[in-house]
Amino acid sequence: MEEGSGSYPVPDILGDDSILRVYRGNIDERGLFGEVYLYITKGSIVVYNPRTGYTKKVDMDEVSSVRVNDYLGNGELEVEAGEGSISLIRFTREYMDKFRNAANLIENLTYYKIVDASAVKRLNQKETMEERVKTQTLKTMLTLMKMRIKATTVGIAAGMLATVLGLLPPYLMKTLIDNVLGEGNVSLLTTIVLSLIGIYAANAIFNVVRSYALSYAGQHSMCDLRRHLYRHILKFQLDLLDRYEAGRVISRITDDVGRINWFLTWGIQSFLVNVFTLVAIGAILLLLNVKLALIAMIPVPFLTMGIFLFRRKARRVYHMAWRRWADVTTLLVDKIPNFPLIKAFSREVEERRTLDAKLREQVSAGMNATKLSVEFFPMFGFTLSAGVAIIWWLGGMEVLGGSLTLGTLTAFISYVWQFYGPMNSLISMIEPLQQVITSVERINSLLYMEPNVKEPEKAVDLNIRGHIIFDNVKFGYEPYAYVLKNINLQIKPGEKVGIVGPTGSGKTTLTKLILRFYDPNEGRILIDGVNLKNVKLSSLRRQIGLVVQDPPLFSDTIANNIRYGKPDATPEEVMAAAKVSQAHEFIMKMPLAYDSPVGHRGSKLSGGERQRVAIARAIISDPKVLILDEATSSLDAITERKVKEALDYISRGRTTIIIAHRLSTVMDTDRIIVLDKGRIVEVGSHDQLLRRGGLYKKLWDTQFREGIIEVPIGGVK
Amino acid sequence: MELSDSIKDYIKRLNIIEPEDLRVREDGRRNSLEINIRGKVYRNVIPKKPFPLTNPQLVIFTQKDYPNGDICTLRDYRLLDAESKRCLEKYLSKVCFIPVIERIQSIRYKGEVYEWKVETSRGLRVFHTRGRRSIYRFEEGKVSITDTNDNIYLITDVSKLDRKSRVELEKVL
Repeated sequence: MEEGSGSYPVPDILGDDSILRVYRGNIDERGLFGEVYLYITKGSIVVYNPRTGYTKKVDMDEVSSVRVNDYLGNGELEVEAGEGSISLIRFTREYMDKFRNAANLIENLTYYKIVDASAVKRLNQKETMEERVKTQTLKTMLTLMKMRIKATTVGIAAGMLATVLGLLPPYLMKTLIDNVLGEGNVSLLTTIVLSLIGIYAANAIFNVVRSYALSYAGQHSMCDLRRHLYRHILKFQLDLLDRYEAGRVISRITDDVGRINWFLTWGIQSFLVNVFTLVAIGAILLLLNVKLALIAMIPVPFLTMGIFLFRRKARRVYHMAWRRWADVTTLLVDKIPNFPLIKAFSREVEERRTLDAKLREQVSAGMNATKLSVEFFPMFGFTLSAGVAIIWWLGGMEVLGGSLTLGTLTAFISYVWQFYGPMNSLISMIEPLQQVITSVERINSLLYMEPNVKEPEKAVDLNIRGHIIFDNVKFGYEPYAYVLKNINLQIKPGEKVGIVGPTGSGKTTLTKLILRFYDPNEGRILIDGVNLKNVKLSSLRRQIGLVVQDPPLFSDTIANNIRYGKPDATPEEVMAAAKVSQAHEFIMKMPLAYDSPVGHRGSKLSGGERQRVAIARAIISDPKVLILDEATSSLDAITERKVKEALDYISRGRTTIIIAHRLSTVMDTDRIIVLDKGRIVEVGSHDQLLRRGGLYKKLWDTQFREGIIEVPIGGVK
Repeated sequence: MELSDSIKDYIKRLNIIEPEDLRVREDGRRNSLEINIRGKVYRNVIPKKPFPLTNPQLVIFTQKDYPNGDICTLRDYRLLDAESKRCLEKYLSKVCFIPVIERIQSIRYKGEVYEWKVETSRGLRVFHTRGRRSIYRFEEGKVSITDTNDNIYLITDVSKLDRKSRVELEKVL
């Protein structure tokens, strides 16, 4: 879609302009599907349809605004320029985000008159990564195989040997018929029987070795891969979750790695062994009798095609049956918990009909699957059996004519049966192999992703005093879409600062930058005079305590969750921190007190309890800078007062940043910063800001009216 | 700049006392304890274990009628004089009743619950658990089990259980 560095046609109209970005749309100027290109240069925007020769050029100086129109089934990039609105390019909805980026770039060029080199680099990095993901699939698969090469080799070798042994019994049967039964050689009978027992025993041993070795290789490779992936994702800051939802990351580490396990433990050896078996049996058949061998191979292309078609159709039919069953389950999951609602509205008849319809569909889909099986398998079996019967007839004629022994014919038939098995296995491997390739691509997309925030080798271990400076900071999560713009702010050591502003004004983003979860796109942040980029991340974060609105807890005990802020904390320190955060009281009421498990993400605790545990976790690390991001918003009034007292107490002398929607939370701070649309619009004390009558006053009045702010005793100053 | 109190200063508020400064006696009339800290007597006192599984020797003393008013904290009650230790242990064994599972006879799945037949430090016991979340594994082989009635049981070290008990436990761990 986006072309950062790839090939694309260049229209003459562009002249010598240096192209910053090229975007490809897929609806042309006539509304037909087809490739159309949008070129962005410093001075102009050009649209070009290589098929029709259509071009359009808009000078960047003329553009006053840009937007992406979100229509039904398609979108459009539109600019206001010169005489009015100009539709530049159209595209289907999957390209919407890409063209929003294009709009941000154009806005950046027209509004700020600058090119944000870091943003262009981020976009180009993303594309390079996508290309690498596709080209590196085979390399990754080979690397995975090499990870446990010894065990893999042993497993495959054992599998091959077991296969070779499996080819011997029919030959022994030939000897038995021709030489023992035909000639009455008793000693040879004993030799053959003992050989058979030996072969079966060795076969069993090789199969055990094969299964164990390949399983060992698979399990350990998966463990290594999961460990490697987890280490890799821990290198990231919050930018990982901006690019991938948590569920997608989990799915890669669990499901995708699991699918590759199939490839390593079963897929590789199954493929090699089946190919080997096919070749070996083919050769044996030809050696035994060329004419019969060629006849035996006549059904092969038909059977191959039949199996292939069956599998393709079966996939569709079985998936349909599975989806119909899922429909029934989904319906039950939806309806049964809403049982009271069904009863309250007397909808039993309708609900019964809905389920009946779904069940009928499910039965129909199930029967389709059954029909397919009963149509195919007897036909498949008949074709094989008929082929073998013909070989019996032709071979039998040769036996009667004396040109073939009975033993050879019997062995031949036995090999023919063995010949068709690997064919089926190889064809059945196509689908899972495709899934493995997809999984490897998905894993690569994670592995080849580079973290945006990196720590330089010579990063310093800083003993923080808490002097923070934002120097002309500009930042956006998406390239060109700035959430913070030109932030200049100085917070002195020990100062208590409140940050307020409407939703989406950039309050929380500001604190994420202090913790260096992200780097600014422009400008710099200094702590005690040192650029954050030069401070060791561990040193920085160890000295900054963060409490957020809905604090995450781990599925562990309360004590261990508090201790997460200081792993070597003594029990006394844990209790002291909990007492300060007003958590000790409720903790002691729990059956196992501090040893009580909190459940998945703290589900056994209420919101307020989780909050107090999180505050204790922040306190225990004795931070030099304390950031409270809506830290008391989920507490009831009484608890909030208690926690606020505790926080007031511990924040004395520490640089404290309090982000709050409720203005009463920050009214006692030394200074209040008011943010709006990513910019600092007001700075001052509560009284100063009220007197100024700006956005803060407006927010205060609104909250006062809505009862969010309680009237302080003595009235509002 | 003067930083506010550090965590070490907060610890002072726990009023941690040395074992030799504390005498513990039974207060039979009130079904509680009487403690004497360096000559100052507190009556109607109850002990609590804030870390009953991971740090069972640590005890907080609270006045019965003022559950939020902790009097003092004792790091290791085992270091108390013999009589104090006896009185305290007697009371603790009541307020902190956690039978230690010494042997697992059987764990059977019955409907939606697991039925445990165990030999504990307090005798034979049959109890039920529901789901894996009722079993919590601590480091070093310690496992706590909470039954459907919120009673707590403890396995101090899984590796020290007999083989049959371990096999049974694997059904649910």
